[in-house]
Amino acid sequence: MNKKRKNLISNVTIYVILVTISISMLLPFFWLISSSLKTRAELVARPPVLWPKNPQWNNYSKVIEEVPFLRYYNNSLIVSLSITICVTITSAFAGFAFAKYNFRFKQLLFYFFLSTIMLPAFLFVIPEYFMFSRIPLIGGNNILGQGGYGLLHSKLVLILPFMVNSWGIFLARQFYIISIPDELLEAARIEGASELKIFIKLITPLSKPVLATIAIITFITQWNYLFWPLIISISSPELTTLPVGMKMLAMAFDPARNQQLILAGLSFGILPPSLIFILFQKYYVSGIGMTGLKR
Amino acid sequence: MLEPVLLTRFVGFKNYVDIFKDPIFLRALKNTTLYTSFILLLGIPLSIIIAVLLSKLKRNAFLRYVFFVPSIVPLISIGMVWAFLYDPTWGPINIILRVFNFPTLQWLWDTKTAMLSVTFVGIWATLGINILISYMGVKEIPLNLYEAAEIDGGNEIQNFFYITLPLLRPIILFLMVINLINSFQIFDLVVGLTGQKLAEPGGPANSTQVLVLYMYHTAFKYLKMGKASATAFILFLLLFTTSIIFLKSFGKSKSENY
Repeated sequence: MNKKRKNLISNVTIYVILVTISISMLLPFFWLISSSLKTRAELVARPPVLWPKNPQWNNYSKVIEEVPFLRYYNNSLIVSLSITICVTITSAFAGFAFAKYNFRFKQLLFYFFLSTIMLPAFLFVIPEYFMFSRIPLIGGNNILGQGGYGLLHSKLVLILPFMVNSWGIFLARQFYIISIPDELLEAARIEGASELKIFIKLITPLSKPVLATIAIITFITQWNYLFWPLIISISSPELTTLPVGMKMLAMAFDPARNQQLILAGLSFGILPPSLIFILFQKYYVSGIGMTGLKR
Repeated sequence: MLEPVLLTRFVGFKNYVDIFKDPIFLRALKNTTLYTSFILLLGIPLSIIIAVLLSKLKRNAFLRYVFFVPSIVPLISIGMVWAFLYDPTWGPINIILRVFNFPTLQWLWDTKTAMLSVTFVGIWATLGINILISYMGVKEIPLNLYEAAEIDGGNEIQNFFYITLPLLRPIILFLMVINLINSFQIFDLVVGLTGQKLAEPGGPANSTQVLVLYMYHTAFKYLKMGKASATAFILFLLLFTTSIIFLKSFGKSKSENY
């Protein structure tokens, strides 16, 4: 009886602490959604209005009608999903290699990978843009890469620069260090499994938490990414993604009129990342550590 | 395509000398270091503690989602929301302070409190992802270790320091290096917070100037590409050396397994 009461008290205490801190976390969501339902007068009202008197639900239908919103959504979705799948797979492979194998130059190679994220992304924009527009034999280019527009008008230009991500590799490496005992691998090798089979049959089910984490964070980062798609959408407007579309509305000649549309569009835009997060929660199970490895 | 390179002049290390003489750069460096230190010393421990607390609850899915929500919204929007919250006249923070008769501050509009205000938002905004990663690490710890500790008569605090933290070390290393790299390159947040009402992002008298913002202005506003490239290289060197120091001192050898 005493233990049950102790458990209850500690549970309640933890709930109280966490709920207090977490209430502040909901602020941006709440502000975004409530602002998207306000009239223009309510938006700029001083003192600020907490929740609009007449929620303007038609802001949401307006943004779909007046702006090619569904195309933006579609572009964002395809690009983000492709990048997420690719980054998850490559991070798992590379992270596992760095964690469990020894090879020449391993240390150096790891530092090299890590250093690719140490520079701000906007520095890479100009060289990458040139690279994509001058690819030989694609998009009207001759063999030297001149004349046409290269890959600039295909969705690949939004996907390829991000297909491998060093922080995903780093996270996978740390995860495999803590969760895969060497004895497990040795046992599998004694049983005669090839390295690839070990990875696919044995390691992949155990790596659900890290794959879920990498997928969630990559998807959200790519969904919200503004800079590179903005540059690309100048020459290829059909490739506009959601954040770029909202930015273009904000830069229009009368931004005040579009404020409601932007906010409604952004509110739509928080749906897929939230969905991905919720869907991937079931992969956060305890790993092999649930019962511990029997020695 | 190579033509622009031929139009440049070779000036040796002049760019680097100019940068270190520039008071705005020094301010940016100081601000960025302050921001990074706070994130590493406050943000990471806080996220680990919250992750551990979350792992002790059975039905924590909704709470985990709530903590993660700020990370779903792009950083620049978070900056704009907090710029409104920090507003000295109409912002909810000062309104609540006035209700309780506490003294109000000027937050982002006071050179003394501006960078600290930015830092608080930075910690708040990165809590989500840090908690997600810490939670993943905590979930990987074998439960029988805690059971063994209970038999031996350990309490919660001892569990935390002797079981949880040591086994989280690879994840803590990850958080340290990644947060170091990301917070040194902070840009969106500062622009969102200080770029709206004020004439230009960077805060009153450059009190929230940060490295990447300085680089951005140098390159695209003042069009001094050489100086901006030199700044980028300095940023890279700082990050590279600090990361290697972290990795070497905190990293474990391959033979460590559980």
